[in-house]
Amino acid sequence: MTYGLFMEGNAGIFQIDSAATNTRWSGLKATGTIAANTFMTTAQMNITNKDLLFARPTSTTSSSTFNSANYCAIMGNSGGAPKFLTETSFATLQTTGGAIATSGGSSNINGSDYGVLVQEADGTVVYDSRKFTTGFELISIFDAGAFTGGSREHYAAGGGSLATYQAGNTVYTATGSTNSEKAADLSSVYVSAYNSWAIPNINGTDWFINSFYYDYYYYKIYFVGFFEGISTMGVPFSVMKNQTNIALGRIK
Amino acid sequence: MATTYDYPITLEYDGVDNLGYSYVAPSTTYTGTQLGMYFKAGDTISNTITNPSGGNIGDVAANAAANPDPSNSGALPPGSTYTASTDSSAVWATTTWLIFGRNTSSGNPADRSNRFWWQRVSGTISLDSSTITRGANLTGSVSQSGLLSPGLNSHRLYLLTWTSATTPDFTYANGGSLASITSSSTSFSISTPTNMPPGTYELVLSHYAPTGSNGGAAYQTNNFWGRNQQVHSVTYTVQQPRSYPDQYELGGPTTNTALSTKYYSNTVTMAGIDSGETATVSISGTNSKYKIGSGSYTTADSQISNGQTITVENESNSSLNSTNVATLTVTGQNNSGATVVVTDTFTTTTTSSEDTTPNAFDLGDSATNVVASTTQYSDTITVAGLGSGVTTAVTIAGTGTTVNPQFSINSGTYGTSGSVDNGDTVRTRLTSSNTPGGTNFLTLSIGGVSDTFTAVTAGAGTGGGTGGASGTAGYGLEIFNYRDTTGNGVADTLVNIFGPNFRSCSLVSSGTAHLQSSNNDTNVTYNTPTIAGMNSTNKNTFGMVMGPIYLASLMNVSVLATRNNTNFTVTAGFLPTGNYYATWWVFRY
Repeated sequence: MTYGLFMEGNAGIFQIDSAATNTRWSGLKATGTIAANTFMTTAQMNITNKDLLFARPTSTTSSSTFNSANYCAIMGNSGGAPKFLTETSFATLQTTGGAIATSGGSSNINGSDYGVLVQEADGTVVYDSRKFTTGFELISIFDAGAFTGGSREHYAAGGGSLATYQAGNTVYTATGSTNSEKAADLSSVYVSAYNSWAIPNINGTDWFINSFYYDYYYYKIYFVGFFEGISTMGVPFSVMKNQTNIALGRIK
Repeated sequence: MATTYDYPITLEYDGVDNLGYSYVAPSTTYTGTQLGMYFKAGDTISNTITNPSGGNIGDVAANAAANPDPSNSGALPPGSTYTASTDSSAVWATTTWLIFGRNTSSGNPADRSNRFWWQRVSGTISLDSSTITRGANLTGSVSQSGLLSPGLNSHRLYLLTWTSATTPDFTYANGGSLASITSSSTSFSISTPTNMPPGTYELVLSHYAPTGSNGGAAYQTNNFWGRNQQVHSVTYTVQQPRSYPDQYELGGPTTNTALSTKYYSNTVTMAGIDSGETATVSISGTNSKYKIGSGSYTTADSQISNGQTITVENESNSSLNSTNVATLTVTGQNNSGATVVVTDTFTTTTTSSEDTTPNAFDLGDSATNVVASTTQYSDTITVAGLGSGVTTAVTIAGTGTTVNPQFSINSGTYGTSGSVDNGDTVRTRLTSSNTPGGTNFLTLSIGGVSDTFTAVTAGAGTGGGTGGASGTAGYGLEIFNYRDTTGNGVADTLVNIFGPNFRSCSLVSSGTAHLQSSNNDTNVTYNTPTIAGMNSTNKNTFGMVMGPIYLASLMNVSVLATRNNTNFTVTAGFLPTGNYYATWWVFRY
């Protein structure tokens, strides 16, 4: 590296490398709540701009058995803008070069005369602190195939147990000294949601790929991946692992 | 009073009976079938009986005798003029005398009714209670002897009240209510007026006696009552109802009170007031009121009955060490009619010195690794523990370089002077040091109680980090920006949006995966382009997120992305014939 800026953080975490072409820091673009079965707008999630989508179910209902409102799963999209199976809270990350400030009519949120701007050799912006007032911290990343699949609703093939399902599919376990603290912690975590797909209860089948279930009874987030066929046709219950990486994060 | 009676009687011829007693007392003088008169012990009777026939004057011993013949009683009235001078005479004291005249010739008794008799009577009053409340009935009974069977007014003993034992005759006091008893009904109940003056009264028992005179002086003016007929008397006391209460205790005193604060006494219940009576309630004293029962607090006089409650309100003084006294007065009368005033006080004395020292407070943890020369805010504290109404000054001081310590009261403008009382909130702020690792702190003092708030800037790098992503490295680059946390359009809070202690996300590459199956192929793959900056050493800091590949087939739905040294490969274990697309992102963290 003969020029530019390369930075690592605590324990070598990647921060910035202005020499790695196309490495764009992503800050928080938008947060909000989208109703079930309602397409997100491009202001909320713009796939053309390469926005990264993180989400969680809005419901924090605690149920010892199962509550469908606690699913986090996409059930369709329109031009890349997804809609969710349940009411969902989202956090969309936007690359720094594509960020558009929203306040004061300025392209920079709090003015232009301070901040940090990192550019590549050709002037492409890698990082511009003036565009964001909120960061997003990744707290866990899991490789593809890390989770066995199954569902909180149906457990696993062959009538498996809840314990078996939890052992193979727990994405996150909330921390806290009290249940309310655990619930607050759980509801602060967003999962990379764009890779999910759900076709629930169509012609007697359920089909969930790369989806999630927020369990406020055990204070855990589970991976959900399964296909439940029509038993009378001899179609078995099939589990599916996570196809790609799963990332979890929090709004800073 | 011993009385001398003189009834001159001239017998009249009333026909001849077979016993020859045809001369009787004249019916024009005495009416009724039982003609005669009661007397009491000690009276003198000096009737002069004249029989114009010149025959004997006879008697019988019992008025109910079938034949009033002296031979039936076997006796004549004693004395030539039939005088019962004293009750020492055994005859006159015990015998009813019936007087007839006898014809000189024999004949049938045409009428033996008109006979004159003397009957001695005695009686003793027994009161159920010698003391009564006016308006109540005076009750008792009479033990008597001598009354004849009931039927006529004359066969009664009468009771009438005199104003006192020393009052003259006929000065009755009970409103003229005359009671009586008969030989078969000896109980009496005499009402008393509700306005009867309290005092000692005399109850007089009298016998019936016709009016008349003796030697020109009237010996009887009323047939039913009078000293002349007085058989017995007793005294009794009339009292008026009590309308004052028993002593009550309002409680207190209440000391060391807050200023200008309302305090309340014990709730006291009025006792001892007679039924139907009321007492007058009044209150005095600065800022003093009272209420009866659940009524409103008032300063006006009012009436109160037995069993009702009173609560006194007294607002403490507005000055230190000062006493306010509420005096509750309940005024009524005793049984004798004398005014009785019952009072008690309820006092409040304010504290001699106010508490100007608040409770300890905590401005929160130090702010560490902060950006140099930036404004740092403490926690917000709430003032508590001061005396009521006490206001105390707030001071602030800073230590360090260019500290600029300030505080805000109740979210007001930040400054360096002000005062607070209980319930106010205070938040402080300072400017962090302008040097790496520098410490600035402020000291906030309220009423002698202090706490500090410290801000430490990030230090100079010392090389090598420890811990995980959420570490506490004291080096590196942190970037802050202001955020609008209240939604008012003003960026008011400094937040860390980038730093060495958390994994942020950088998008490295994105694209569309194309999986193509010509004939239900197996292990169909898609390789992403080479990812910028990804190599065998750092590849684990790259991740891939991809839209779902879902298959129409119900079989073999496994799709997985694998990380290579410089890119990612997506593999579908089985793919029905067709083309499949999915957007992917590669990010670095």
